[in-house]
Amino acid sequence: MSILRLGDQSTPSGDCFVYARSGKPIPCEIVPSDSLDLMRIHGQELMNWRRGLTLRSISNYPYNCVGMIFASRRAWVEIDHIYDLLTGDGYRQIPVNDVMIGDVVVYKNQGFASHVALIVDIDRSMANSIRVISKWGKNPEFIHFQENVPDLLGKPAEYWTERI
Amino acid sequence: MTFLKILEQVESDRFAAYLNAASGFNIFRLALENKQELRTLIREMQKHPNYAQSIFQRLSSLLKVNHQPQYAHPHDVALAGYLFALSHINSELTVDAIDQILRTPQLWWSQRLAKFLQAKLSKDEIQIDWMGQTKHMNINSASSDGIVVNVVPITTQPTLRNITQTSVSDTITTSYNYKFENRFFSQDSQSADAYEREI
Repeated sequence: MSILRLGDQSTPSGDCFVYARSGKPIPCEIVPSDSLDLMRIHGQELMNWRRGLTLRSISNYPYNCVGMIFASRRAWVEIDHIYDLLTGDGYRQIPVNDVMIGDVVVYKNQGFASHVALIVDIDRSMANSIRVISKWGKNPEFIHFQENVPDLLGKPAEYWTERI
Repeated sequence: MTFLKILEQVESDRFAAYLNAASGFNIFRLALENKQELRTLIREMQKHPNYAQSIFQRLSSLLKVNHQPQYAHPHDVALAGYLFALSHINSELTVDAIDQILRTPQLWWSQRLAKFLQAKLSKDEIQIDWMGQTKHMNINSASSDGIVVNVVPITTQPTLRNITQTSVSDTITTSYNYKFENRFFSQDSQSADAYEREI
């Protein structure tokens, strides 16, 4: 991935782009910012609702899980573009036993890519217990076990690395 | 569960937080379809036709509530939920709701849903040229009157006939023939193929 917009590379339609390492433009979205107060309330709702979450950060700058990993927290990139980014950035799919901290996990819901998270901890003694950092849509960033996400984000399905 | 209780849930922070977790519009839409609160709401609206109007009015009221206009609309997700529910029940109110949502700033999910539904509805829109007057109808709204299709100004189709208009409104309610995707159909029980052969 090379570098990113914000605002100044807007097309007439209001869209913007980030660029994969291959040079391929990946569309991103202009999303209105939530107020910080509202984000705190939503973050707390999710903390109450799901055990085992560590709230890492709250920012009302609009980026999502894809933007967190592939656009340095600068953009909202729809999850539909995840494979363009992975292949454009030279990632390759690996089995779960080969994952290392820094690799990414792609989630699927009903067969479609639904979420992406960055692996931050692996405990091989506990059946590949993997913890990730991920941003839940417009909500805050959380650190959590990879399976511990809202249903709409699906289940961990694929592991990808850019390691050669 | 009472109707008001369902509305409370749809407008709750929990509902918004859950759906705001979506990482893209397609996932958001999938989540709307699976959300129990919305399924219950749609079921209630099917049982009580007047609820659709109530939901539309609630949507209109909520649209006006943004005390911090520099930020995203605080009821964006609830609005999307109501629009989604309306789209299952009443296409006329859906069109009005889409119009209001698209004119309101700082919406994200609800505007994306509105644009999605608008595209879907416009694909379904029909135009009928009847006795020199152009009629625009939506397939969904027209279907309750028995009209289901088309696009081509039918007076330009010399082979079409038996068209009668019995309603004083903008709907044609009885016998008609129409062309859809270059195939001719008839309102009565003739199959498309049979009608094509006849032509």
